Amino acid sequence: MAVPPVPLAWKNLAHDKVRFALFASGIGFAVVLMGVQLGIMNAMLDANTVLIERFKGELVLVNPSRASLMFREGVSRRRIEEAKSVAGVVHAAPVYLEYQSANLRHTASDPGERTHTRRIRVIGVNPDDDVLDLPGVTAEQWKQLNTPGTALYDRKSRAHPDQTNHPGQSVFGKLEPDVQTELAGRTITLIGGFELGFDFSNDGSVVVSSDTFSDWVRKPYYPINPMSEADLVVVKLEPGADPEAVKRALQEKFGGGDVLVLTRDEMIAREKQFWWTNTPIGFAFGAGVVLGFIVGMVICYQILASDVADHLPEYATLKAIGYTNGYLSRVVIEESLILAAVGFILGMAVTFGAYLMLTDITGLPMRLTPGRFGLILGLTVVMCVASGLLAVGKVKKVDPADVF
Amino acid sequence: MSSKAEPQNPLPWGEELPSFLPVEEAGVGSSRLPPPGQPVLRIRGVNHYFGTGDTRTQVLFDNTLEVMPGEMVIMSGPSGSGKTTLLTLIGGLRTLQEGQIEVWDADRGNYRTLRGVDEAELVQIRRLIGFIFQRHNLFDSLTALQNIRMAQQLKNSRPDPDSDARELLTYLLLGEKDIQGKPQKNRFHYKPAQLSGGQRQRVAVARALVNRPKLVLADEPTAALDANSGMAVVALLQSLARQRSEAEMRRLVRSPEEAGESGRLGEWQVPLLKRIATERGTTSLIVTHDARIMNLADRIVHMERGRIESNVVVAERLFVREGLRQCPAFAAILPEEQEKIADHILIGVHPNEPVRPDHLAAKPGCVEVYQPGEVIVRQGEPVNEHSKFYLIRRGTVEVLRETGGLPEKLTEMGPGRYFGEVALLMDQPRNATVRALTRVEVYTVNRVTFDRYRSVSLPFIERILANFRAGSRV
Repeated sequence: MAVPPVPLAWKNLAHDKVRFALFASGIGFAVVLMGVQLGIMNAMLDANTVLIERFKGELVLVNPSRASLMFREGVSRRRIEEAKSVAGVVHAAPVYLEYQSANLRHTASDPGERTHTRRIRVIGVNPDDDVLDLPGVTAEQWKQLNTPGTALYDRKSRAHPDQTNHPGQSVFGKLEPDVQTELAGRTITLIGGFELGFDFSNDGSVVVSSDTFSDWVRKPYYPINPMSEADLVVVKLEPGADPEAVKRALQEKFGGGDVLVLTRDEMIAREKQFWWTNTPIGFAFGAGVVLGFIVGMVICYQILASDVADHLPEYATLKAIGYTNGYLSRVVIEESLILAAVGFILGMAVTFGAYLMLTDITGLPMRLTPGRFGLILGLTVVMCVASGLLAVGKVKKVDPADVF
Repeated sequence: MSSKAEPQNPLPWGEELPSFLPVEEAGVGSSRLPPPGQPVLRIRGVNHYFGTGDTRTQVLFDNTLEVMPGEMVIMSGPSGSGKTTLLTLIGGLRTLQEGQIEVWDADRGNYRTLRGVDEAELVQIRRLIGFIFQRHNLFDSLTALQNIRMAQQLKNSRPDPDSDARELLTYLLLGEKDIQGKPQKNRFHYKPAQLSGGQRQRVAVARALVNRPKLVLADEPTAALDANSGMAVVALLQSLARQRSEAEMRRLVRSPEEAGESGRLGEWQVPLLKRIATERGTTSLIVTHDARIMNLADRIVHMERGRIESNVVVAERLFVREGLRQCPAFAAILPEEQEKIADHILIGVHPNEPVRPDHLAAKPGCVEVYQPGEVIVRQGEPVNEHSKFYLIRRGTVEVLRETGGLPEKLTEMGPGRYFGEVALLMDQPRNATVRALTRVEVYTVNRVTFDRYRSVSLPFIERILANFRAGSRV
C-alpha cells in the first residue's frame, strides 16, 4: 500500500494562517502593482484605437504616410471606387476625421458658467453606410444625422474636473439630446449619445454626417473640393471571404505608394505601435510593471528564504534521512508556485476592482482581456519561480551534518 | 590441567544460541544480513580534518572499528573526542576524507562504500540508516503521523504503512493507551507544538525506526525521555537487534517500584513490540551518557582526542574475566589486576563469532587458532617464562595423558574452560597433551604478563597476610 503523500510545501506555508495571509498579501500587492500598471499602459494604448475597433469592416485603407489617426494624410476617393470593384468586397466607406481645427463650445445653459471652447474630435461618416458600431445609437438617430447641423455626442468624453459641482458633466459641459451648441463656430444640435471615450489626442468625439463634416469642418479650410480625400476607408467583405486574400488583391490593385491595406487588427496594432514608440507610455508604465515584478520577486524571495531559514534543522534532517537536494528544491519551487497562485487570485481580485474604479474615474478603457490575464499570470509565476530558484540555493547549502 | 566443572556461562542471553544471531537470520547468502562473521559496519583507518590551509586541524586519527549485526554499540568519550564526527561520517552526512567506511546494504546484499562516492550514492547510504538526533527536528506544520510519513515515503516497504506508523506510535505511548493500558487521547494528529518535548522525541524515534533500518545512529536518544518511554525505545532497539526470550520480556513488565529509574514496559506493550519488531539484526550505534542504555550495550567504544581508545565487546570481556576468575592460579592476583589481564587479551570479537586472520593480526599474541588434530601442548614439554596459559574461546579439545606408553583420554573441554595454568607458577614440564578436536580458538597469557600483574598484587596480598598473622597472634 502506498504511503499517502505529504504536501510539505502547502503545509509549511499554510501552517501559520496569519503569516500565510501576509505572504499572500505581499505577492498580491506585486500582482496589483503589475496589473494596474499594465492596465493603465494598455488603456492608454487602447484608448487610441477604440474608434478603429468600432469600424464595421474587416479591412481598412490608409495612407502609408499617416503614421497615426491624428495626422492628416488621406486616401483618394478614387481608391474607394476601385476597392469596390475587387472581388469579395461588399462595400467601401470613407471615414473623415478632424482632430485639430474643430472646437465645441461649452454647453452650459448659463453663459456665465461656460468655460472656454475645447478642441474635439469630429468623425464624419455617411449615416447610410453603416460603418460604425455605436451601441446606444438608434436607427432613427442615424437617419436623423443626415440632417445637416446635427451630431451624435460621446457620453464618455473626458469628465468635468469638478464633479462635485458639475456631477456627470464632461469638460464640454452638459452633453444631452436636443442641446444646441457650436461646433467650429457654427450652431449644431446634439441628437443622441454613444460611448467611445477620450485618449491622448482628444477629450471626446462627435459623429456627424459627411455633409455636416464637409460644411462645418472642412470647407472653412478647404473651400475647393473639401472631401477629395477620405481619412480612412473601411472595407466590408462578403461573408466567408478570406480577408488576407482580399487584402492582397486590393494591395495589388492599388500597387505600392498611396494606399496601405490593413486588416482591422493590423490597423489597431499599427496605431498602438505609433503611440508605444513615440510617447513615453511604454517606458513609464513598462517600468511600473518591471518595478512590480522586482518588488514581487524581492517579497517572494524574502518569504521563501525566511521559510528555508526557519526550517533549516528540518530540511537538514530530511537530507540526513535520505532526501535529495532535488526533492528539497521541488518543495521550495512548489511553495513559490503556491504563493504565485494564491497571490495571483488575491491580486487579480483587487486589480479587477481597481480596473472598474479607474475606468469609472478616468473613462480609460481598462480591459482585462484573456491575453493580459495570461500575461499577468505568467509574470506572477515567473516572478515567484525565479525567487524560488534563488532560494533553492539556500536549501541546497543545508548541511545534513548540522543535525547532530 | 583444569578439571573443574563447566564454568557458569557468562553470556547474557544464555548458552542455547549457537551463534550471535539465530542461524536462520544470519545465513550465508541472505540478502538481509552480511555473511556470518562479517560486520554490518566496517571502519578502517579513518582520519578526518576540519578547516583548510593553516587552520586545518585533524580531529579523527586512524580509527578502525567493526560492528556486527544486531549489536548495540555505545560510543562514549568526553565532549570533543570525535564521537559525533565519526557518527556523521558513518551516516554519510560528511564527505569521508581518508580511510574507508563500508555499510551493509540489506536490500542489495553487499556493502556500500563511503569513500569517493558522489552525492547520489551518499543519499542512498543515508536511506539505509535510521537517524535519531538529540533535537527532534520535526516539521511544525506536520502532524505526528505526517512527520513519520516523510520517512516512509523514502522506502514504502511496509504492507500497511499507515497502521504501521500508528502501531509504532502506540507502542511509544502516543496512542490510545497509557502504560497501564488505561484509555488516553491519541496524539497521531497532533502537531509538535501540541506535544511535550518527550512526546516529540518519541515521534522522532518512530520516524527513525519506521523503515526498520539495519543500522541506527543515535545521539542521546533517551535524553529527553521519561524512564518508561526510554525503556520502550531501548526495548524496541533491542528487539530489532535480536529475538528476546519470553522471560526476558516479562522482566521488563514490572511494578513502578521495581522499575525505578530504569523504566518498564506495560503488559500490553509486549505483544505489540513483538509485532512491530519483526525485523532482526538491526545494529545501533548510540552516543549516550544514559546509564540505562550503557548497561545494555553489546559493545562499548570509548573515544579520546579523536581516537578509539578502547573497543570492548561486553560479552567477550565477561567471558574472559569469568574464565580467568575460575582459574585458581589467578587467585594470587587482585581482581582489578585480573580484569586488566582480561582486557589486555580481548580482541573485540564476540566469543560466539570465529576470529578472522585480520583480527589476529590486529592484536597479535592474544588469541591462537588450532586446526582439528593439532596439538596445543604436549606432555613432557619443558615449561619456561614464555610458556602459556590457555582459555578456550571456541571449539573442543581433548586432554590426553600417556601412562605406560599408552595415551589415555582424560576429558574433553569446550569454551570457557582453561588449561596450562601450571606454567604460570612453576617450571614443571607439561603433565598432559591437549589436542584440538575441532577448530579451536584459545586466549593465551604467558608467564611474563602474569608475573607483571602478580607483582603489583603481591605486596598488597602480603600486607593482608601480615595483618592477618598479626591479628592471629593477638
